[in-house]
Amino acid sequence: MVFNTGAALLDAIVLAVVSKEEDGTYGYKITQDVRQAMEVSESTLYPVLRRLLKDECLEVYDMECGGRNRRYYKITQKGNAQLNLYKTEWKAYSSKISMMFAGGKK
Amino acid sequence: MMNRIEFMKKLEMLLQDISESERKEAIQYYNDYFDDAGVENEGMIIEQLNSPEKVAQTIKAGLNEEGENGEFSENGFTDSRFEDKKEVINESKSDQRNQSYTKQNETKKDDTLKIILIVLGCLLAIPVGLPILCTAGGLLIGFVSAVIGILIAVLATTVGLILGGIGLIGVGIVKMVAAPPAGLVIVGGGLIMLAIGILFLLLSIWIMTKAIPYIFKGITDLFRKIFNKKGEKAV
Repeated sequence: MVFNTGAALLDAIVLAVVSKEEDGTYGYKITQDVRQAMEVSESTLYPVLRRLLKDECLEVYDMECGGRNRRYYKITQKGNAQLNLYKTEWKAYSSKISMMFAGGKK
Repeated sequence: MMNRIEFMKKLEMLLQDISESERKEAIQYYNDYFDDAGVENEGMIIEQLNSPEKVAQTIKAGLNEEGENGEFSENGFTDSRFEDKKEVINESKSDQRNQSYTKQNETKKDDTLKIILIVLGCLLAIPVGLPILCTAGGLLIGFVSAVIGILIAVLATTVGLILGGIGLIGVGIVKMVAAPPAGLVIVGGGLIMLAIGILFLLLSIWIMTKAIPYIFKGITDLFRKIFNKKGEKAV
């Protein structure tokens, strides 16, 4: 992809990925899922997850998994509201851009 | 290449200057990450993470900016304030595009050149560095010997003065029976010697309890400084 992704869009993508899992999901899986949409490095998402936690868009809990505690991330109500806002904004934004591109072809 | 344990150890060390809770969170995240990725992916992840320094930098950047600055691209996080350190997270895994391909090659070439320069520098430094080291070592030994010598001299003077003083006092008392004035003079001399001896005793106690520990502390501090500098270079 040639377009850069702003912090807000990355937040939105992470929220979308986490919201898909009702029981929450974990760091490695989030990275793998985000990679379906865009290339991110292994260290990109930690600051994003941390910020979303701090903004109370996500919450964490630890669950025993194979003899160790794995940290799970789960979307909060606030996170869901934020995600919906992002989705609406994205729809408006992307359709305007698409329209402009289509119009430019004339 | 480092293994996971070395990587995490180094990362934890590099995060000493952030709060304990933030450090624990980050360490837990990357430990989980390695665990979930599985042993077979360990090498690949370490390679992509690039280095503990760069991971620590990303974590700290996240702590400081609260997401207002910077931009995430497919190549990772870019922040104009860290422009020069951009390759931080830039290495993307399966990106075959020419642009980033050449970029990676350049960085690697840079690294090789750096290593060659460092090795050359070390080789060139041996003829100069070795004599300097030897001289410094010699000076140090000389200095320590001088301090010990002074201490022995002071101790000997102390013992001599005190014993001499006591002896003179004894002789004076005996002399006083025969010739009181001469005896008094000798006793007086003995007392003066004893007094000076006590002063020297104080001096030697001071040297042993204050001066020598102070000097040794100075020397160890010096070594620590040199050692730390080396450590920083390695970072």
